[in-house]
Amino acid sequence: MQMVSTEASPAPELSFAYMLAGVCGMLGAAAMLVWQPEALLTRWHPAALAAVHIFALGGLMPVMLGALLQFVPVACGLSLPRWGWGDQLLLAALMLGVATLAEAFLSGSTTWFLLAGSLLLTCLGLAGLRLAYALWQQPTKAELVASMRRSTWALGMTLTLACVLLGILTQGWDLPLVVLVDWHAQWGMAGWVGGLVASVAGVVVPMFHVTDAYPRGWTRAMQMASLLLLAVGVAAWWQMGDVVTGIRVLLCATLAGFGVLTALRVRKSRRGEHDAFHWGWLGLAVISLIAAGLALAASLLADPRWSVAFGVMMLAGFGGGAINVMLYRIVPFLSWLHWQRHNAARARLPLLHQIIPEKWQRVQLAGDALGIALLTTASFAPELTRPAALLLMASKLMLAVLLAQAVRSYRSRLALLKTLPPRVRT
Amino acid sequence: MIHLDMRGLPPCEPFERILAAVDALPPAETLEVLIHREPFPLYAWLAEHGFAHHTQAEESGVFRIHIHPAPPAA
Repeated sequence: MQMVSTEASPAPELSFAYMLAGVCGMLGAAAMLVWQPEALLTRWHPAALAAVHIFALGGLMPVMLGALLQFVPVACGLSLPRWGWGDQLLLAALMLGVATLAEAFLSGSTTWFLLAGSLLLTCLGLAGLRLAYALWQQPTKAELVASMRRSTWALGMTLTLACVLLGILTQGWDLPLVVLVDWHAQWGMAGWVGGLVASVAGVVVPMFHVTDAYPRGWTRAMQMASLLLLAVGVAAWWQMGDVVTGIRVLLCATLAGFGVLTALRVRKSRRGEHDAFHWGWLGLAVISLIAAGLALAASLLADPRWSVAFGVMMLAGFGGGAINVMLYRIVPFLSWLHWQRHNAARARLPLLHQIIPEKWQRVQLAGDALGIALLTTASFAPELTRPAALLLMASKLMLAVLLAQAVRSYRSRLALLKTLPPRVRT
Repeated sequence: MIHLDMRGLPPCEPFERILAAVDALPPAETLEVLIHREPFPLYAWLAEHGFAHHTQAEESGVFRIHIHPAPPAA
């Protein structure tokens, strides 16, 4: 394994900027639903498509990319190429692309779709290629790297399908739109977001909860899930309805398996603290189980509202929830790590759970959970959409404020540490 | 050789304890650390602060790391 320097990963400020932008993106998606609460009446509503893409690409994606800039070197021991100002440019272009795509969905304009497609496919293609370069630069048998490679493949599939959908929308290609949209969503949510959350959970849950690792059988289930994603698309293309339903049931079982395994590990934590991090991960386990149940209902029942409810729970609950709870460890951990690097004086540093106040973490997570529950219910009771979206806006705003405070604390303490005289070794 | 068993400790306790042990390490002495995950950020810190290390991954999933002051550069 090569020697990794902290120079190999960008300064944490860059990751923090990506994370804050992502939280603002999630807030923006909730604002879209406040503005157009009728969006949840059908998954094909222009405002629903706009909100989904704002949340996924302007919310989840920047946080994931920012976290990967640090996670890959710290957890995998691999270095991502540094792009200097190119990284800031990429973030700006990504957010601009998301705004353009939202306008494209709302207006239906071909020009906006082409502009958004060009911006987003360039940004995400480059980000994906950099991640692929880092993960494939040397042979390794590490399961973490293998699972992240599968997620990177899924990102590639999602982007390829986005290209095809762009061709249908702007060039009139004669292809089955619904099948391809479903496949695009499945690779994006289950393959890229789900795969990456499961990969990171495999490290974060045992490490921070001081509990058992996920069993070896789970690794095989994740490998199998990638094949299932491939199979479900092929089966849908050939209109093999029963096969599609069968594969979807297996994918639901994988999601439920993640929920059960995570809950068991968190319950067996040897840390013994029932803090926001503990409840946040238990909440994510429960969300996984509910999402699996909703996915099952959506696959077996004719009522399209189950699909909307599943989409909300998967995107805002599973994706948004996982990122929310992980940010409460990632930001303090990165701060601590980079403080320590400059801590020549060996000054005592705050503990991880002291960097973002525990009490406010609990309040924010509770508000988020309530918002997700209400928004999922709003799939069946549209009058709840606006209050649910307002609650989600408030919780994401609170998250943004807490993270901004943590970043400010990181900067001020770092500046202080750099002024202290080094401790002399005896 | 000084031994330090860091297995089962939550972040960032192993890092802090290893740094404290490294600070107190006599020049000709070696610190042996047992830990349940490979601490990549620690390697960078050690290199930047004049220490060399050798890591051995064991079948059980435990990492055995030997740390000692790096010989002065020629």
